[in-house]
Amino acid sequence: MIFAVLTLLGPLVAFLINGLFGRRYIKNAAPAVAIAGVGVSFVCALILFYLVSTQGLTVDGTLYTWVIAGKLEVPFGILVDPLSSIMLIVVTTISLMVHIYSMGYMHGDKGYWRFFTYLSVFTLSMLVLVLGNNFMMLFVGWELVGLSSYLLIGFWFFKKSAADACKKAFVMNRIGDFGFYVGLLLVIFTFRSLNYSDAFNAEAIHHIKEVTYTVFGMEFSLIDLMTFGLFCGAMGKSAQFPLHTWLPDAMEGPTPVSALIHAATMVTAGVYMVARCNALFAEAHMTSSFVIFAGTMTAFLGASIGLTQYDLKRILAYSTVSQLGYMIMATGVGAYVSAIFHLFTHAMFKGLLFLCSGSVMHAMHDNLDVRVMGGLKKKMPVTRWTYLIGCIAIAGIPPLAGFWSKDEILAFTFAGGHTISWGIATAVAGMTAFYMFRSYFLVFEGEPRDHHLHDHAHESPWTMAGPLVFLAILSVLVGMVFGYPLEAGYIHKFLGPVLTPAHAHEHHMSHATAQALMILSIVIAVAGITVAYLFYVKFYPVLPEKTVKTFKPVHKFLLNKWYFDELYDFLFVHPIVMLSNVVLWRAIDVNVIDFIVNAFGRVPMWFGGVIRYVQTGRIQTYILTMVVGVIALVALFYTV
Amino acid sequence: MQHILSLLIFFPLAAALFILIFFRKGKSSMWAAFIASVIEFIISIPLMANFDKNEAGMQFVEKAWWIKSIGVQYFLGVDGISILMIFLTTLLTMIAILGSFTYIQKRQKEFYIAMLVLETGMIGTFLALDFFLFYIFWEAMLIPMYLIIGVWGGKRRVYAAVKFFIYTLAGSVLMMLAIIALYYTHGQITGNYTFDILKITEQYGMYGKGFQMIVFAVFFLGFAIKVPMFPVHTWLPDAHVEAPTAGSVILAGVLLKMGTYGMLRFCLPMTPYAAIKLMPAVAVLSVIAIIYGALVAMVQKDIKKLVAYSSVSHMGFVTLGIYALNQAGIEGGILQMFNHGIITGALFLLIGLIYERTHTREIADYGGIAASVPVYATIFLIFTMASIGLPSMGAFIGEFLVLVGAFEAFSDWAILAAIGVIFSAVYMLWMFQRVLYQSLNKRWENLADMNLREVIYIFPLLIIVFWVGMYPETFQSYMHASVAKLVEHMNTVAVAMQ
Repeated sequence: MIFAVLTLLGPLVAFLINGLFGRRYIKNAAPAVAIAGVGVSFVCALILFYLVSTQGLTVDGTLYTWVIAGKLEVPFGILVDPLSSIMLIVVTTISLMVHIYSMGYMHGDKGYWRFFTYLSVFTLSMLVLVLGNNFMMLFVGWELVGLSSYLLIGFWFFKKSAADACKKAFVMNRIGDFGFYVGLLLVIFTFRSLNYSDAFNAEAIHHIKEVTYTVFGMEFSLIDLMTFGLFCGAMGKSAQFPLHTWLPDAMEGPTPVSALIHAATMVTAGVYMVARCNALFAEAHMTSSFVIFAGTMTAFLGASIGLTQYDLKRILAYSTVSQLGYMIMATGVGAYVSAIFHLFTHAMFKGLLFLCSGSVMHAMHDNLDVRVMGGLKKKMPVTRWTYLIGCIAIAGIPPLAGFWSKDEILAFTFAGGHTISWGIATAVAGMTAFYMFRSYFLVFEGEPRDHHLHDHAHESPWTMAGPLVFLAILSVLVGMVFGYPLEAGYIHKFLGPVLTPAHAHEHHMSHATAQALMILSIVIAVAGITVAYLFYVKFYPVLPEKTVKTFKPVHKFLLNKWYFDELYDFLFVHPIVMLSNVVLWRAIDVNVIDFIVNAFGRVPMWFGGVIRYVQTGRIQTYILTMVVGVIALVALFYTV
Repeated sequence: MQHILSLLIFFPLAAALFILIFFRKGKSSMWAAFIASVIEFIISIPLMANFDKNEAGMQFVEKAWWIKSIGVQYFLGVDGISILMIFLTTLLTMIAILGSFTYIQKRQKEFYIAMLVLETGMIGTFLALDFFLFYIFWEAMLIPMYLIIGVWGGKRRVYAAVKFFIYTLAGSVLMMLAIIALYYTHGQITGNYTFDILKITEQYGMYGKGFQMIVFAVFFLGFAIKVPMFPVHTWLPDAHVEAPTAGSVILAGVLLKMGTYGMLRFCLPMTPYAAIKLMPAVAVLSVIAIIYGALVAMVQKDIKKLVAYSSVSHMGFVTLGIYALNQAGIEGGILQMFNHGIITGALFLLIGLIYERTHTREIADYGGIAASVPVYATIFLIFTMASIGLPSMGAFIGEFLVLVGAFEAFSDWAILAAIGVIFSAVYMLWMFQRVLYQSLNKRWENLADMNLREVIYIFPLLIIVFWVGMYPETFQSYMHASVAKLVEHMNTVAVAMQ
């Protein structure tokens, strides 16, 4: 418990110190404070991981009662178990590396201290998300990482594109959070509690399995509805189709942020959430089918767009979208351990790739277009080698990290009988190998295409190169260490008890099938790399140009990201703004309601205006009126 | 302690009279008013400290005959429903006065006198337990507010003030009709003609169903204007835009709560049959307010108008919670009344202080000022996020309680209300982006950041926002007992109805 609390306190204290005194007093020493903070968390995470793995430690404790809503009591509580301890390792490792890297990368920026303050906020929020022992804590972390993401994407707020991107990210996430909120309300309705221990209780779930719930007159299975709501949150946070459009735009933020938040940690929160709620998702068959669909669709969507992009960070961003699709798909088929395993390995190599791209940007004067790069391998050896390692890892070549986790996901999908998803996912693996090596060849191999930029290119300082090397080593090792032998590695022993094996495990494959699948995925990866080599080294630039010409409409469609942004603008943004502006405000508020109100005001005024003519102030008129009145009354009296 | 409520009510009035007679200069009366409001705030602290949280009924009661022949008493008391409002009123008045030091340049003495008289009216309204007394305070409060908008307001101040007056007068007249009806009916049934609110509430069982429906409808409409609920909300944007900063703060922070306070004190306990019958209808109106307010806020071009429409949306959550008629919903409603007062009050102060420097409230005139006023930008961001309902800050807890309560009572409407969390992010962040982010408008390159006075008056609000967010029990503990009593009252009636 003490270590768990310390994990949270580290970044919190760093945030407070930097936030309150950073601008005036600390200034350039801000990184020291922030690194000390995250360092404390890192050490505590290691200790916790050690205790959990060797002594089977679990902590499920309450710090204080946070919210009382009628009979419902929500604690501010902490849970340390294998799942949260492995997430702690991921978060604190990447966070620490990004902190160190940023010392070099952000050096000289006007908002140096501000950047590190935001990083501390992010780390804190992510740790709250991971360490909470109830849905409320999860939601709090969930929203706060959204806030930190907003702040960091909009770090260079004076750029309109950055300001747009951070708002878009927040709003897209909020759309998912709406679903999440409804999911929470249904959890409360069902279990009268938000604690994991009450909600993931097998007996309680058994009781509500067949229960239905009526929403707007339609009847749904309660557990499906609940999990679907929760999953909407995951679609927002983990950038799943159709809420994926914010993630590529989020690349407007500084590159270390892209590595930390938009590749390694925050965007995987959705995967973590689904894995955490595996007891519920495993019983929700409708939702699970949808999860598989969303995951597969996202994996394909991201990879297909990734094929055509020219902006290095966008390529990586769409690759992240695609890989997140893999993880979500894995949770859908019930391979929760593999999903978390892929989350773990992906954090290492995608974090690495992003940091490499930052190093390239640094050398290329913030230029990101791969068409002006080329031949950087001699100028930037460390970046080149580490980037190459990242590419091999993500492509799924053994024995690097990506192979182990990706192969497991494919195998479980196949074994679960989801053949279409498996087919698409396997194709995506080939596409991934292709576009990752496309970027590698265009950036590092071949001849320099812009000599001016090339001449000024240089290797990055050690504060930046160090983390690259560290993450590259991890990208090589973590797969083997945790994943060998396939489908039965240490990770399964470690996470198995919390991530109850679901249906996929029931129908086990034969050894031969497993091996065939493994060989197939290696072959596909190699094929992808070979094609990339032919396109971008051997026959460059003839072959790519010719292909683009042949498949012009397809290329344009992919280059424009399937026109999702345009579609959403047309379907939602414009109509809602029009409705609000023209109908609700100008028509109803101003012309209907205010017309009536003003009429109420006008009637007495008009009446007063008429009466005014009678009040002339001349005695003669008054006397005349009086005489006429008296005569009229007398006449009236006598005639009746 | 015995007469602390009377002291709370009449101290500002006495201070106002003192200033009227003994002060001549604007500056000195400004300081005198500020000191008076600080003392008033300090008086409210022992009230909070000595409040018995386990007692559901009225505390610190003061009772004396006033006009015995028609049954009018001088009757005051405070319970878990009103105590937070008292605290909110004394706090916000103090802050609003401090926030007016440089804003108000003409007729300073009169302005501060109006503020203090207004405070007496507000506190009196929350404490009065006699209908006659309540009505007097209610009306007394309108006059200084009318003057604050009409004299110290912006260009269209007269239109706004008259509109405000027409609307609220309509509300007052309706309320008076309901009061007279209750007075006579209660008198006829019991033979005891009294304006005693508690006694009239006790006899709720004797009122016929039709009578309850009519009284409820009339009361409800009167209070709905004050809240304001759709479609009687259009006075609010005009009043806010034209009012000076202090006026907007008090208007949003305290005056709007009079409506929901009235519902809690009268509509629910006195006419419970009607309240239970009509709660789905009110839920629909609340959801309309939440979504409608948010959508209209989104397309506003004036920052103050945007925040004003957002109030319609946020107050929709309050009414939704109250009419859920359960512990979580009503507590959420009250907590949200408090939060909205703090957060929207802070937003109006922030808009006001930048207006003093730029003399514009058009969103399009701004842009990128985060670069020139970093402290301001940070604080503005915090309150923007608080208003959006980000966890760890107050409004999140309030909304959560409301939604939990509402989901239990009418789940479909609660789900629709939750859409509000999307739109609140849209309109607030869009405004924030266009005002503080993007490229810096050259006009504001040398804009001065917040000064010490401005930081001082925002600071308490900042603390409270996080306090409510992290440990809401401090504030909820005051209401548990009283709300439980109200809920039990409603449940008894609901059971009897079946």
